[in-house]
Amino acid sequence: MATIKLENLTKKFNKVIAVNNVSLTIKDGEFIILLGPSGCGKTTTLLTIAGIYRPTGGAIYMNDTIMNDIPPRYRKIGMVFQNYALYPHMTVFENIAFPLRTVKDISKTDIKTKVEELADKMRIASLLERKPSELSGGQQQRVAIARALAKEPQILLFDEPLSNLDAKLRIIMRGELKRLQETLGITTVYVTHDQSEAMALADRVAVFNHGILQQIGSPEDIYYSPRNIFVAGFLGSPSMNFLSGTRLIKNEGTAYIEKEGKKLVEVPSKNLDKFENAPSEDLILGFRPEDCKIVPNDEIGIPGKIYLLEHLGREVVVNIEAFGNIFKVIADPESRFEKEQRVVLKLKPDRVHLFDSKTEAAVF
Amino acid sequence: MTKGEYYKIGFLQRNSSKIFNVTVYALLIVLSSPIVLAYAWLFLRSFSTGMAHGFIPTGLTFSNWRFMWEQISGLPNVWHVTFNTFILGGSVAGVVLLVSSMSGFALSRFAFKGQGKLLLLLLMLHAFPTVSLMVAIFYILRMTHLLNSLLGVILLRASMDIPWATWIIKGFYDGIPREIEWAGAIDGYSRISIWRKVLLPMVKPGLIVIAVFEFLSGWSEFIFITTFIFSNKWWTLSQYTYTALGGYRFADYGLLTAISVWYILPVTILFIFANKYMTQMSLGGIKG
Repeated sequence: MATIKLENLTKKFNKVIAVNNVSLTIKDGEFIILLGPSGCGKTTTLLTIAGIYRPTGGAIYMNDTIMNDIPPRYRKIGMVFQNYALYPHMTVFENIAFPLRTVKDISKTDIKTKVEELADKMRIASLLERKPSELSGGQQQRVAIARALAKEPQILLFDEPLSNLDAKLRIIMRGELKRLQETLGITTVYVTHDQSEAMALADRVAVFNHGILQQIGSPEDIYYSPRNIFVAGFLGSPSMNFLSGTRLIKNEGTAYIEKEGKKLVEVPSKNLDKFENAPSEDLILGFRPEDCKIVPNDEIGIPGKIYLLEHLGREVVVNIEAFGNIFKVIADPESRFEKEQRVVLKLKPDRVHLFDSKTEAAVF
Repeated sequence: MTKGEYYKIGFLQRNSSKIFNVTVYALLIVLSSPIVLAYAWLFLRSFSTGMAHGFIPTGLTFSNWRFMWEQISGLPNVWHVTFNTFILGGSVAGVVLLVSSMSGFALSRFAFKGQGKLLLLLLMLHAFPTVSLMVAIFYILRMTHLLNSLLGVILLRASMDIPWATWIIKGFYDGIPREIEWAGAIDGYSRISIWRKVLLPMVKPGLIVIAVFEFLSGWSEFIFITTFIFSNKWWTLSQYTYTALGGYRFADYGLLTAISVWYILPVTILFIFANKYMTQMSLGGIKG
């Protein structure tokens, strides 16, 4: 199969730097997701891997061969686009057969067998004579995947494949994609802006912002140990709560994070040595909505008052106003809270994140 | 709103569109009647011995159509002329299609310096009246030894129409998402085969429109024929009809109408077949 290596990959459009000095290695058979907001360079990176764009700087290797100037058709890749990019004038059969027709010495019966096999696999066998315009979004998606698989590519590329589907179908297709990739074991690069998709599908996630690779790691890594504020805020829904203007204080051998004289949370002693290379003033405290408890009163914690309750069935999102911010906290739907009620947010000390407000990098 | 009001509004809404349609059709019928009547008269006159009071056929005859099997003095063989006309129309359509299908693609897809200005210039070129160029064209044709040759007229007519056709087909290419080309590239095709196998079929409605209009453009070409063709060996039907009309020897309206009907007949047939694509174009291009 195939490995991919990007080495200081840079892509400029005139003066705009779309991808800035990105280096990453994708292992054979790995499912890697490029995640980030729109305009962050993830799609450009994907199209450069595909060979649609030529890198301005750096190099792309596939199986240790440099691919910078190799046209897409020699790269042994299959690609699925957001708008599916099916050929509207061809039937489903013709669409899937189209890549096969470039294979040397392939017979008509071989093409037919192969197309039917793929159609079976993607469960579109009954649609082969239809035109793409006669298919639903989900069916078009299946055709696009079948077409991408036709030439048995070494690498599969997906560009936001699920974002044109409705929410329910998206969850179904997400599962199917994951299963398909696991069965085929094809190295897969998948672009999305949907963090839950990334968490659900990826072996590893590469988070992009402003053309720069922010962090790469397993979904757990990225979620539990974000390297900077951007990554911390991009993953998770509701997203991480941030409180700026906090600092580190030490009191009788115990360290706390405090703001305006109020002790917010204890700092575990294992994290103290991380302050050697970081400031102890002007810090940003971060905590996830699920990593805290709402209590009526406590010495240590964030004091605030309940601003809004969002009942979501399985859970309730409690909005708490404190220090002029609104914090979102996930609570048990059984719990009885009322608006305007004064409460204290009790954070889990080992789940708290701290960021340097100047560099936005995580202290821990 | 009361129920009564509700129904009243419903009634107006349902019927106002009907009233509107009837009005529009009535207006269109009145406006187009002179043309329709003129063609009807032309057709009837070509098969009748004469017209009483100007519009009632007096008797059936085919003698008006004798130019098809007899030599008419002062006019060349009509079959030869018709053949020439087909050659002219077909070749103009062919040349324009060949060039514009490529130039339109280039203008749609490749960003280059001065692209916007070039597009504007293309439109301006089309706005120039052809007559103002006649002298210059004469010199060019003489230099290239294309005077008195059908090839010269073919190239002239094509060059006059290529800007327009390029503009039209560019619009069709613009409507094709880039991803389709990318998919073709990934599926294993070179740029030229993507253009041929994927893009050309997708802009087919545009190509058909251009083919029809350019065939017509060549079919009805008159000024270049009458100016740059000196031998009736290269005449086309426009010159043939003009000569028949203008020749002082003729006061034979039967013959003239028959020739006119012969001249417009192929065009009418072409339009009937191409109608589907023409209306598609006015809706603005490609359907997904």
